[in-house]
Amino acid sequence: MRYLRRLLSKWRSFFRNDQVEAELEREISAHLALIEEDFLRSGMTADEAHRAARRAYGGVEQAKQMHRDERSILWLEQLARDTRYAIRQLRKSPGFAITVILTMAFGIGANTAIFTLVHAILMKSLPVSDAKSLYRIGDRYDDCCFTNGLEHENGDFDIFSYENYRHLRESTPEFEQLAAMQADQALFSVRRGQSTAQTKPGEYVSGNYFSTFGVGAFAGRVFTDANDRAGASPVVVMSYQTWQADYAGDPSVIGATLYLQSQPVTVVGVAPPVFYGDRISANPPALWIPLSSEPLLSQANSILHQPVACWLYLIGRIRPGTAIGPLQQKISTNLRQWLLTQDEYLSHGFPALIPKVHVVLTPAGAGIQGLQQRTDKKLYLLLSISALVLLVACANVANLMLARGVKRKIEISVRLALGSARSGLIRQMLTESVLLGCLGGLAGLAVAYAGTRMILALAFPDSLHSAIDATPSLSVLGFAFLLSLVTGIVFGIMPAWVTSHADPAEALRGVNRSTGERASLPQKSMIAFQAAFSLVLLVGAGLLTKSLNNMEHQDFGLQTANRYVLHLDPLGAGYRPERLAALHQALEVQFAAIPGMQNVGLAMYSPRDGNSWTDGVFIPGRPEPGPNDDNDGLLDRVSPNFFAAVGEPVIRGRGFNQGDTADSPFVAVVNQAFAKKFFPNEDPIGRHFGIYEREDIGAYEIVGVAANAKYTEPRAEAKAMFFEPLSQWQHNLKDPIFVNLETQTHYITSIVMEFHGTQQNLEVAVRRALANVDPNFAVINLRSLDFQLAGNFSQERLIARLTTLFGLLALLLTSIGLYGITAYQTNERTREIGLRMAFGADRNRVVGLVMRGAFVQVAVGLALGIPIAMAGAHVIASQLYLVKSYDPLSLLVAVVVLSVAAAIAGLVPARRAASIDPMQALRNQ
Amino acid sequence: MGAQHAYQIATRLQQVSERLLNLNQGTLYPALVRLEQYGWIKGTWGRTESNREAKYYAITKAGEKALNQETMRWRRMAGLVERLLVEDFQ
Repeated sequence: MRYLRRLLSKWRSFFRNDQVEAELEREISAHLALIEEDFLRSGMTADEAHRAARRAYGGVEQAKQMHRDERSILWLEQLARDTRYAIRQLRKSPGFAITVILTMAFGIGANTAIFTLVHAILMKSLPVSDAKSLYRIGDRYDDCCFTNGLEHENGDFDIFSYENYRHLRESTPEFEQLAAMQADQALFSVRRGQSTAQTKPGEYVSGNYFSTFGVGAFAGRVFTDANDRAGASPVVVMSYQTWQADYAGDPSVIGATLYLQSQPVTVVGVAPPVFYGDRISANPPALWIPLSSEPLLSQANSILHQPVACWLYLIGRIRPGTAIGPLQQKISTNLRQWLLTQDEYLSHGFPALIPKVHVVLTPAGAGIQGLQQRTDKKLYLLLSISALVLLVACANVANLMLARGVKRKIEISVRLALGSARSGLIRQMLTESVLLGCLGGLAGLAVAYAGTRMILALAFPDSLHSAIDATPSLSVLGFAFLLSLVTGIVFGIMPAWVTSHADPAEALRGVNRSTGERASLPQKSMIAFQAAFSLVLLVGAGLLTKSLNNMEHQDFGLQTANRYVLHLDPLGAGYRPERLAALHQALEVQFAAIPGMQNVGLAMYSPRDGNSWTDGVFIPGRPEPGPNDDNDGLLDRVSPNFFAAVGEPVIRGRGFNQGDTADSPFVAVVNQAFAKKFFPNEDPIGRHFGIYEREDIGAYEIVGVAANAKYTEPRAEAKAMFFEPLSQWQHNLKDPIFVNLETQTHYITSIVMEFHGTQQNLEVAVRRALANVDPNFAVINLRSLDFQLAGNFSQERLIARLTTLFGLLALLLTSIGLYGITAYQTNERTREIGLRMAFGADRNRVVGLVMRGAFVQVAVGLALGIPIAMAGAHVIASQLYLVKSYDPLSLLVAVVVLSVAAAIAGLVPARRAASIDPMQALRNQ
Repeated sequence: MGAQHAYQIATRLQQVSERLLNLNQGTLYPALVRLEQYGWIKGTWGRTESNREAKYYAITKAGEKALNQETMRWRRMAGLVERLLVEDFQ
């Protein structure tokens, strides 16, 4: 109790220090007066009494200091004093202060910007209640988004069919709630009243989705299980952002009817502004749709009641106190048993895989973390790169502080000579550097905000309203503050130590002769470190840029000149399977009539538009492939002119033509990779294969071989691929999943065009042609094939550009640092240089002398940096495409760039040194 | 003994200790600060008989309680030390 009271009164005395000090003064002088009075009374003269009183009292100033020490919180008092002193010092040299603050602002700002991203993407929980009790059944995301669930060789199961979900939900009471959500996000055609249809991202979710996350509606209501039943009238919940952006927050939207895929649905409510869905993505869903509406909206393509069609991720809220391990066991056993009750899982070679099936439960407080898994390496790479920049900036500032320390040598010496404690001096200088760090951090926040916005715009170029916010959160502010403190100490401690260890006697004897040799070695090593780190950054920038270049300018196997791709959605426009053949024909006719159009090809998907379709390939007469054998091939279903339109040459046999009709024999064109994979050393032309196991043995005859082209993964070789005509359709299939798959493959999403003319003209003509076919069609997008092929490298491009930017920033800082120290040293050596010149050294010798000094530091930096750069390159090897982590060219370029910069930084002071007039130099000093 | 100012306290200490304890007068202040911060004494400005201003320190209620406690503690401690000296060194 008494200690508490004492602490409180110490705080009080800290804040009303002046008053307390005045009172102390008053008390002491009263005390002195009383003693003096006594002495007077004992017969001394006034003068004697005055002096005797002071003697009797002792040291007045010491008494005051003891009083202060006793009454106050010492360190706080000292801190305030040091800070005031530091501010005074900085005011005296505003140029220095501004330089340091700006340098630190860039260093800290860059780091804070990257940390904002790391925090927003990797460290954020969903904005839902009690995110800790959310668990996902499953741990991987690479089996997105429509499979049979048995993709992983080790039996790791993490994507589920609707039936499977229903079963698990009913048999796992350990989950208070278990919700299902679509693994990928689909685009829907959305129309209100008579307005034109728009394409919006949407997501199918179970009825208990909102209650599982504990999310209510912002307006209206959210849907529940009652809305997620067969026969329930279709409803949707709209995101707040869509409501604001597309409907201006119009309250009449709630309860209104929208046409979704041309089907009427009711908007029951709007989700809260903070709720961006179950995952961080560049384009969060505009609409959430109950699973039960899927058959209505997908029509013949519906997969809701296909027990092997896995397309849902499951996240549930676990009951308190449930042990995860046993639950995981239980669900795994349960799942295996269920799979064995499903006819679909008892064929297709699945039974051999089922014994290994198991699930892994993972915390899902952050929701579906596909984006996190795809970007975490890149983010950490950016974080390391920005940390390097900060180190370079710190070294630069440390050098400035050292140089300043040399200037302040006399002052420091005087203070040491007068008895200042060295620790006090160090503390004072550290206060100064931490203050600079904090001011830099404050300015850095502005840099960070602008930087984050820029990075987000570059990383997710077509994002509408992203779930990732650039506004710094509390944690980001905390990070920036800590970073400022730490950097303040890092760049301050060495200069403080060096400066405070000046020998007072030597410094006072003669300033000009003590040329700061002691400060010079630390200064030089700072430059070496800067050069080393700059080299690492430049090498990294070189490697990443080269890799990006390789990716962007690789040969995709396609002629891209004058090629364009239109995306559209016949399903969204309300087309049933039986109307597709007529639609395809009408589209071909209308598009071919556009002036300037050379070729029009329709396709299930186009190269690198994000879609793909994998089927198993079965060759008659060969043993049936086992469960772990790879018989995958990519299927694309196309119209006759597709190969010409997309610029993929058919190199053997023939492509498709008008003679390949619904009634003619089934034909296929395969690519070279397919031929090599399935018919090595054989002629594939004339061979047969099927894709529906025993139901269509040898149905297709290979009539042509197309050149390899990359349709999916740009980093890998072209995959085995086969093409089938849109006009042919297997109508005899029995297995319901086969019937479903065959139907799905006949829906086109892309029209590829070879067109001579401008993109604007094409756009106008395409819209008109599309409206002629059916006014319900929405243009999802129209872009050049080149853009589509290169468009998905935005993240790689961002990293390469940021690394280059950071590398150049580091180079600039290093050059400035080198220039500064060379200029300083040259200045110190004016007299020596003057002497040398007087004794006959010519200008070139002087330039050489100074340059040698500069280059020694850079050379040490290179010697340090080359091994670090090589180690760093090894770490980022997985991010590189067709670039070996040991790339002599990048290394060479970085060394040359650094050396040239160093030469320029050294040459300026060297030339100045060479122009010294020897007489003047000698006379001056 | 009522409220006292610092000089009186110092003088009194000198008298009682028969000049054995001759404090530097300024060193008294830290002790007074500490006692005041504990809330055991309270200082108020007043006038001396010779009409000079001085800060008078008076003991508070909490101070009296603490004084009792500290006195007891001191007596116990002093008695203990005394007994130790008597028993072990004679």
